[in-house]
Amino acid sequence: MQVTWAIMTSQSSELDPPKKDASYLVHRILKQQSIDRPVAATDDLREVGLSSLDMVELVLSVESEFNVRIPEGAITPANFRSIASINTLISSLRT
Amino acid sequence: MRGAAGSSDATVMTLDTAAKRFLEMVSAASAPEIARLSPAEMRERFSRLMRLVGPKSTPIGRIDDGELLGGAGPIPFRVYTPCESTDGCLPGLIYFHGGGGVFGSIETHDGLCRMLANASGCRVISIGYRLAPEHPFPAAVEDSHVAVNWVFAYASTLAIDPTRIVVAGDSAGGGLAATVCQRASRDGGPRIALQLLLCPVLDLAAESQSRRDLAAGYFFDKATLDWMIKQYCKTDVELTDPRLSPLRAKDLSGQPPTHVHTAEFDPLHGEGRAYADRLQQAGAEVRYTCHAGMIHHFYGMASVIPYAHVAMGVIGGDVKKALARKSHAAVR
Repeated sequence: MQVTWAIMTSQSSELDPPKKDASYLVHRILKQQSIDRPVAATDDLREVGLSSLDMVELVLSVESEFNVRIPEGAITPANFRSIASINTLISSLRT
Repeated sequence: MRGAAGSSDATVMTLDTAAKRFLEMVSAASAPEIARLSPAEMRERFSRLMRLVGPKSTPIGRIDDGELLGGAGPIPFRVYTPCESTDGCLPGLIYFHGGGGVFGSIETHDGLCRMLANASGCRVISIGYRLAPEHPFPAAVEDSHVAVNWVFAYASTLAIDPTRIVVAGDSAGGGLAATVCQRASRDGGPRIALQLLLCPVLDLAAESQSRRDLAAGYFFDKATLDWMIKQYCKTDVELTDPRLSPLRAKDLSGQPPTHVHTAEFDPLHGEGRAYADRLQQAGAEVRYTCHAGMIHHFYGMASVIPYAHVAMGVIGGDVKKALARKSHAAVR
């Protein structure tokens, strides 16, 4: 029984990864663009290959998945430079 | 002449908050040099953008896909019947999507056409004309001309009133609509009830103030326009040809009543305004609206620019009113 449970968990997490932070969104968007590589929290997303369209998707995804509204003026290259900076922005909007 | 969402004559231009947020999203990453993009890449990028920012799940009464026979093969089209009335004869609106004659499709403008059908009460026929560079100018112009004649010829089959047919388009599709209307009046073609131009491209050789002032940073920029011209026109084509630049046509007499909608932060608003002025001088009935604070293609970005819903209500509502007046006049 325990083995079956473990397999199910594994499959489940593969289909629907936990939405702990912006890392999940960034990897999902990059994977759509056939960029399948790990991105560290402080990596510059533009250097990783995130395009302007990816950024539109990322901003809209952050808003819908974390249920926040990013105010005018906060959608800056600095706030969206890395997974870490996006997480900082999300935290500041949630408090 | 009027300015929606504020006065178009305001001396201080203020970008709409939602439009500003969209521009911030686009500029938060480094965009690839547009000159390096292939037509296939540009088509995919535009399709994806419209999936992200276009109107979502807009209801529609009915959708029918079909093909009409063009000079070089079948031309796909899609008919949208508005929610309110699915039966009986309705006014028709032939729609040419934007995309510089290179990208854009029936699919990328599907949500926009649904909104337009519902707001105008027209059966909208969206035309999938041929695209460059595979089919350079004048292929799109020829397809548009054939499509308009076909809709008039088969109006009863389509359950469309041939006395109330609108020819419409956005951006480069607006240019196609204007060209088709000019040709129809010049050649004694079908009597078009109204032309509707949304942020139209009307002068490929333009050097207007808005082209200079808004050349970069407002979504539709000079680099994109230059890229489109390069794909759309073979090198031996004169950009001042009125089929490419309808604003440059010498004779604008006999044009149908016209609604022109421009956006304050669109580099194309100068030529839209100039065309409205010239049509009016030539005796046409013209309604010109500059949407304050807006950028090119704002009406197609309802998911990120809420004003698009308001604007489409106004754009479609004005068409409905104009056609109703025509209907009453015919009864008298």
